[in-house]
Parts: sequence; structure tokens; C-alpha cells
Amino acid sequence: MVLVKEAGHHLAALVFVLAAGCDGGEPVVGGPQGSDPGVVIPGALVGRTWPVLMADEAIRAPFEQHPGWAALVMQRDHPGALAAFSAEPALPAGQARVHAELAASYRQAALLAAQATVQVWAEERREEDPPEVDCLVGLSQIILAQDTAIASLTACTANVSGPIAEEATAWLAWKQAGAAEALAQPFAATPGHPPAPVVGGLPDVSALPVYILHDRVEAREIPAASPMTLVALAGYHESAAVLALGGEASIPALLLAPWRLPMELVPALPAGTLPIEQLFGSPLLVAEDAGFLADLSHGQGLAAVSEWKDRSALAAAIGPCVDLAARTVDPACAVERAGRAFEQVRAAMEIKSGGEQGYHRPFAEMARLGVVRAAEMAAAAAGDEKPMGLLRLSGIDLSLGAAAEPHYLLSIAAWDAHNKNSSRASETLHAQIGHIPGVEVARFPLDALHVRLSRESAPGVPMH
Amino acid sequence: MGRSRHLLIAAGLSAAVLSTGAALTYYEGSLPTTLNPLYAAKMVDYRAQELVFDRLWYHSPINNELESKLVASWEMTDGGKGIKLELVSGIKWHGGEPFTADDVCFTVKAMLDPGTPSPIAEAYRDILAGCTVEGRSTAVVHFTRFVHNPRERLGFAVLPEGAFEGNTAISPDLEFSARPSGTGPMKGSRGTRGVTFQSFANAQHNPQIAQMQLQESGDPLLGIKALINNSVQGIIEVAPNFRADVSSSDELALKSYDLRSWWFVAINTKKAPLDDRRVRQALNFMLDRTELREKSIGVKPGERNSPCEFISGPFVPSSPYYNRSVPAVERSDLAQAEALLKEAGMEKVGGRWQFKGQPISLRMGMEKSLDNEAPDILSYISNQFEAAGIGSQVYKIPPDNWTTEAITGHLTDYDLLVGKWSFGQVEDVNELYYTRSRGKGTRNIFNYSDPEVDRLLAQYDAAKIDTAARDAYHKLHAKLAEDLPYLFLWKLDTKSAWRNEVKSNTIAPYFYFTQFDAWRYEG
Repeated sequence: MVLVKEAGHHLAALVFVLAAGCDGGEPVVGGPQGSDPGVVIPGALVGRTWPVLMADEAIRAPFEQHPGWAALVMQRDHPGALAAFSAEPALPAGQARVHAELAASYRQAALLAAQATVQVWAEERREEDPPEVDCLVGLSQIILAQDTAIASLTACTANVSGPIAEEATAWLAWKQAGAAEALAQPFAATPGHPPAPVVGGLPDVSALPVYILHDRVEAREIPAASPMTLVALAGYHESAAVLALGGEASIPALLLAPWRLPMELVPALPAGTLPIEQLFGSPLLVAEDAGFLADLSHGQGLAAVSEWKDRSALAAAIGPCVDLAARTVDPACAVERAGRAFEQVRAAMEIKSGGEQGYHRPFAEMARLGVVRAAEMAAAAAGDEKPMGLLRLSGIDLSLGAAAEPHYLLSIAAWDAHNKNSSRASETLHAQIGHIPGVEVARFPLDALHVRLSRESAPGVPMH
Repeated sequence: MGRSRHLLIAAGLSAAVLSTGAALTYYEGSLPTTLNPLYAAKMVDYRAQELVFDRLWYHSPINNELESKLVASWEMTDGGKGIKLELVSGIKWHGGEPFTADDVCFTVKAMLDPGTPSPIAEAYRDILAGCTVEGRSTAVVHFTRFVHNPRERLGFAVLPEGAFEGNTAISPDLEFSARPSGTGPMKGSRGTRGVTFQSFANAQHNPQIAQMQLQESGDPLLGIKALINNSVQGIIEVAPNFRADVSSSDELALKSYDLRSWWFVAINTKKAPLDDRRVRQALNFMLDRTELREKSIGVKPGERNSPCEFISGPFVPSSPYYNRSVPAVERSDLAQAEALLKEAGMEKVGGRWQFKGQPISLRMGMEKSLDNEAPDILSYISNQFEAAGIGSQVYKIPPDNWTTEAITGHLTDYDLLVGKWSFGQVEDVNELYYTRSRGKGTRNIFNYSDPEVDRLLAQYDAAKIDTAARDAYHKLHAKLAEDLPYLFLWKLDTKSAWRNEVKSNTIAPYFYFTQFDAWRYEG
């Protein structure tokens, strides 16, 4: 993470490097893990999970008393939480957490916009589509780390003029330079890029620039926006998270590792550990779970499961469901063990509290969701698509109420857009509009995709 | 102690002793009207048919890939105006006869036969031109024009030629509608109290559940109790009011069911004084949707992540066809309503509105099963009209009557009908608003007719490009919000509840049981 200073203002920017295979780990060959030891999470780790720690009233009290945590954890109201954490006296750990989660959400919204753009205007392109879609496709292909970006952006700059072409030109230059340069220049050409990051700040996105394109046949308007605007917002919030922690970048880096875009390469696995403020109300149960997921998504890949099983509650929970040799994940096993993790955590909370309390269940449910999501990430790392899909469906079912994390749901929507499941992607994105300011930018290509797919589907009639 | 807690305790007393054995039972709001896929009119019909039949192509509920259990390979023919299908061998109909290319072409021809009065077939007539058998397992389906992604267009269920003795004019009331023969994972039989499904192992199916019963649910509270007690193992649609009960049970799972559904009050625009747009607009302002939603659905004002969102037109708000510049009416505005009624010549006497010297009293109906999802909604609407000075009588309509009379435009003695429409990927609303004639407007409840609306619907039909279709529907939305053949209420998410003994129960968007082969029941 660097802050690039240019023309008298800070431009929050991430160091993006050409992604050369995000899962840098070598395939690990080995037999299936051992049989079920009887408990899902080893006893010592269960006691360190945040739900069980929170069963101690002294630890829980500061969280209960601060309205920022209620807004963030129980309502997933990020603007509300950020305002509460920024009220004097500010709580930097809370601010950093919200900024990091917003950075994750904007990344996933950018991914959603990119996937939808490529699906509708590259995969399903029609003669009526305006020439500017080359520009949007090219920008999206950069986000997706696709080499075809250069051809798309070249076509754009050859046939299109105006602001959208200027943006494309800047990104084409960046890509042609090996995508190793800092992002100051292309972001400067990205419309609506946010101002210098401020801790507690939420950039005004009420008037994000919109490109109005016109189809080639009837010249009807097609609203569009640059997906890079969302990437820039992600950069803003990541920078703000770092600033909130006094320049300490490792914590946001750990939190964000699973949510980074294909265009990003994490140069080295982030070190460091997470304090409870960064775990509370999240699917990360112990501090080491963040390192495990980072390693799983951007390090060793599937081999991380055995590497971390003694330190990470999530790795321990999913371990017996992962066959390293076959590079597969058993989704039924993972869902079953997630249910047992729920019971185990809830029981440990009850013992610690001396009885059942109202918050035990929702906290334990987050533990269950954490296990399912970790298994899903393991399946993704293994390239085991069907189990990954099944686990995602389970993840959706478990993301209810307080467990509905916007960045996770947006990541599912991005996957849906890639799969041309525009109905569910639209519904998921719609639910986040109003919660995460500005994510409606992703709606333009998704709407276009949905109209196109629905018009080319088997006929349907309304059903009662 | 909340209701949920009571339920759980009550359930705990009997859960251990009640068992359904190997057979699995689930509740629907009503029984299917028909098991014949050509005549599905309700979602329960589609869901039941999905167990009995195979559609030529379908989308995987896991990754949305286009898949077929019937077609082994395919290729384009006729410059993109046809598709040649090589069928999977060894598939049998539930009656034991082999599945062949004759069946595929018979289905296409039945849909094209004007003697088949099916709205679903009618929808296919725009795209299908015919079908040629080129061998026992080879068929060529012809399109009326070049189509992108031809397989996407072939989402119909295949019917057995033998069951109809080759007669392609298929009527809705054949024995086949109750005891069909399909190639799907279950053989279905509809009785008066439910539908029985028996597993049928086939070349392309290997269902893990031997027997399943579809039963009609009654009171939703009793339904949830039955689920907790393990008297039934699943409920397809759980009312929002009861979802917390499911979530708080260790033995149940709440499952997402992707369905685009919106609710409405259809207005009989042929009957005075409702034929006056101003009266309809007045009714629109009399409804306090926020209060209705709170009382019936249980959503508090300002609640985040509500399963229920107000609408101003005939689409769900997440849809690109939804015109976001048309605001929804969320609160009543009785002053506006009063002004409109006076302008329309109504008089208020003793707190009651009168038309031509007679107090206005509206006859309101609703399909009975909707009460399960939005309890007492009909009474709440009636109370709001009553409080605003409009009398009403309310009636619950049996599901079969809804299908045979309301949808077909025969309940014209009613003034208002409360209903719900559900959609999948396709959000074509033309059948709801087209003037009923020559196969159009087949679901136009009160035979509404407006030339401007017809023009916009025709624009949508004729649109050659996406933006033209989108623009036509945006204009339609604005027009309907002004003309109000419907009072638009809300979209409502759908959730199912299943006992945890039911495993691997992936729910497909819209069709529900697409992935049924993987379902297991460990009861």
C-alpha cells in the first residue's frame, strides 16, 4: 500500500501488479486428512474464538456500549457505524474496521460490474451495441486481469472519443507498461475518483459520473459508468483504514486479502495479527483465521488447510472435508461440520456465561457461516467449482440478518454475473444499494445483461 | 416468552415420537391445478411438474450452466434457424415406453396446434416453427427466425406422444393432468387431498427419495408447528411472520427461493364507479401500505433488509424494467383521495362515499392461499377503505376457482381482487394487460383495455433491440401507475423451510426441484 502524492493532493492508490496467477501455491499432493477427531474446533482454539471471548461480560461490555458496534455488527450499517466510530472520542479500531469492510465491498462491486460488463458486451455482444462498450469491456478486463484488455482498449481508443476514451487511453498505457506502474495516472483519468482519504470520511458519491451511450440502431440512451470508479473507492477506504491505524497496513491487508481483485497481486502474505475489534461479528473466529484465509486465497492455496489446522479454527473445522490429493472439498461434510461448530461454540459460550443468553445464538451462527465460507474458499482455491457453488448457496442461506455481510453478498453477486445468473445478482445488488453508497454503478451493466438474457430466454408467462 | 419459544417447547414434546418414515411430506399453499406442463397457472403447478417432467434444457441451480438430461448433443442447422438434437438413449416414460425423437416433435407440434389452448404454448408460437424427426433419437427443431442462444429458447417440458395417441390438440382437462407420464425423477399422481410422488429410476435420473407427498397447508402457524413436530418435513413458502420461528430452531433450516413475486389489487375498470380513473387513484391514496405491511407481513417502518419492498408498477424494484422515476405510494393521503373523489362526482354523506346517491361498497376477493403469506391482508385492506369511507365485503376464493375464473377474466362480479404474480428470468407482463383478444391478454383479470397500454405492449413485443424493450416497459410502468388497473403493493421475498434431515436440498430458482436427484431424506 502506498499513497501517491500528485499535483498537490493525495490519490489513494493501491500498488497493483499484473496478476500472474493469484493462487501462487504449488499443488500439494497428500492423502485425505485424518478422521474426525470428535470435535470440530480443538478445545484450545474454541476458547479463543471471539464469540466465546464475548461471553465474558468484561470483554463484551465495551462493545455493547458503543453504538458503532451495534450499527456494524447487528445492522451491517456501514455509514452509520463509521459516523458512530468517528464521533468524539473516535474509536480508530472501529473506523479501520469499517473502512476495511467498505474497501472489500467496493472491490466486490467492481468485480460485479466487470463480470457483468464482460458478459453482456463481450460474451453476448450484439450489432446494436455502441462502440464505447469496447472501452468498458477493456476496463473490466483489466479488473479481471484478462490479457484481452489491450485489444479492447485499443479498439476503444481507435473508434471513440471523449472522456470515456481518455480514461481508456490512460488505462491502456498502464496496462501496456506492464501494469506495474503506480495507479496515479489512470486513476486521475477515472471520472469520479475520490479525494484524499480522510479517516471517517465517506466520499460523496451522489453524483457519480455516468456515461450516456447510444445504441447503433435507434440511438436510444444506455447509461453506463466506469467500473474503475469503484476500484478507486476501494482504494480510498483501504487508505483510510491504514490511516486510522496510524499507518499500520498489516491489519487491513489481512482483512482484505480474500477480497482483492484479480488485477491485484499481493506481493507477500501480510504478517501480523488481528485484535478482537477486527474479529468481532465477523466470520473470522480467531486471529489466525485471517492469515489462513489470506494464505488460502493468495498464498499456498489449498495446502494452507494443513499448514494452519493447528492455529486456525476455520482450518481445523474444514480440514477433514478437504482432500488435498484429489484437490476437492466435500460440501456436505463442510456444512455438517459448520453445524457442529455452531453447537460447539454455543455450548462453550453457555459454559462461560453460566447459562444461555440471547446473543449466543446469533454469534454462534456467525461461526457456522465462517466455516461454510472457509470451505467455499478452499473449494475455490482447489478450482473445485461444483462444491464451491453448493457452498455458496449454503452461504447465502446462512447470511441472514446480522450475518449478512455486504462484501460477501456482493462477491456472490459477482459470481452470479459471471455465470449469467442476472436475476439473483440484480436482487443482491439492489439490497446493497442504500447501504453501500455508490455501488449502484454496478447496476448499469447488470441491467443490460438482465434485459439481454431475459429477451433471449425461453418464453415465460406470469404465474400466480 | 415469545411465540417462537412456545412453538419450540411445544415441538420438543412430540418431536421424538413422531416420524414419517421414509416418505417425505411437504406443504404448499394450495394443491396444483394441473400436472400438465402446458397448463401451469400457478407456481405450485410448475414446482410439482418439475418433479415429473424433464425440460429440454434447464439452468443448473448451482452455477447457472445450461444443461439437459434429454439431449446428448446438438448442432445448429438451417443457418441458425434450426437445432438438431441427438437424444440420450435408454430414457423411459413413467409408463415404460421409450422416450424418442417422436416425443420431442409431438410436443413442439402440440404447442403449435391452435387446438391446444395453452398460454404457455401460445408464448412459444412466436419462436417455434416446427419439428422434424430424423431418426429414433434425432430431432430437428425449427425456429421462426434466427435466434441467439437457441438452447435457451427450448425450456419446455417434453410430453409423451403415446399418452395423447398422437393428437396434438391437447385440452387441459384430460386424465393426463392428474396422472401424467413424464421422464422426470418422480411419477406423480394428483388426488383430492394431495399429490403423491413415487421415485422412478431412469437412464438420466436416480432419485434418492422413494416417496414424497405434497399436501395443502392450512393455518400457517399450524404448518410451522407441524414442521417443528416433524409431521411434515418442508414448507415451500414461509410467511415472513414465521421466519424467526424457523431461524431459531436447531432442527430447521430457512432456505432461499429465488422468485420474483409482486402483489397487487386488481381493479375492475369495467364497473362504475371504478371505470373512472380518478376513483382508482383515490383508492390508491386511501391505502396505507406501510401500515398494511407492518400488520400483515410484520415489517416495521424503516426496517433494514426488509423482505417486502413497495412497488409502483408491475416489476420488482431490482428489475431493469422497473421505472425508478415513478415513486411508490407508501402512506395514505386521504386529502388527495377526497379531492379526487369529489372531482369524480362522488359525495360524502355521514362519513360514507356515495355514487349516484348510493353508498359505495366494493366486493373484494383474494385467492385463499395468499392468506398464508400475508395473514389477514384482505381484512386490513378492507378496514383501510372502510376508515376512508368506502364499504366492502371480502371473500376468499378457492385456488382452483382462481385459476379457472379469476385469471381467465370471469370474476367480473368482483370489484377488487388481491393477487400475486411470480416471474423467473423472463418478466414479460404483456399477458396481464393486453386487451383480451386473439390469444392475447390471457391473464388479464378484469379484461382491462387501454389503447395506449396496448401500443406500449406491442412496442415491447416488436422491440428488436434491448433498449427499445426496456424503454417500452418503463413507459408502461409509468402509464399503469397513472391509470391503475392494479393498485401495486409490494414485492415479497420467498423463503422455504426444511427439516435438517432433508439433505442436499438445493433449491432451483423458480422451478424449485430441478436438482431433486441429489436430495436425500434421513428421517
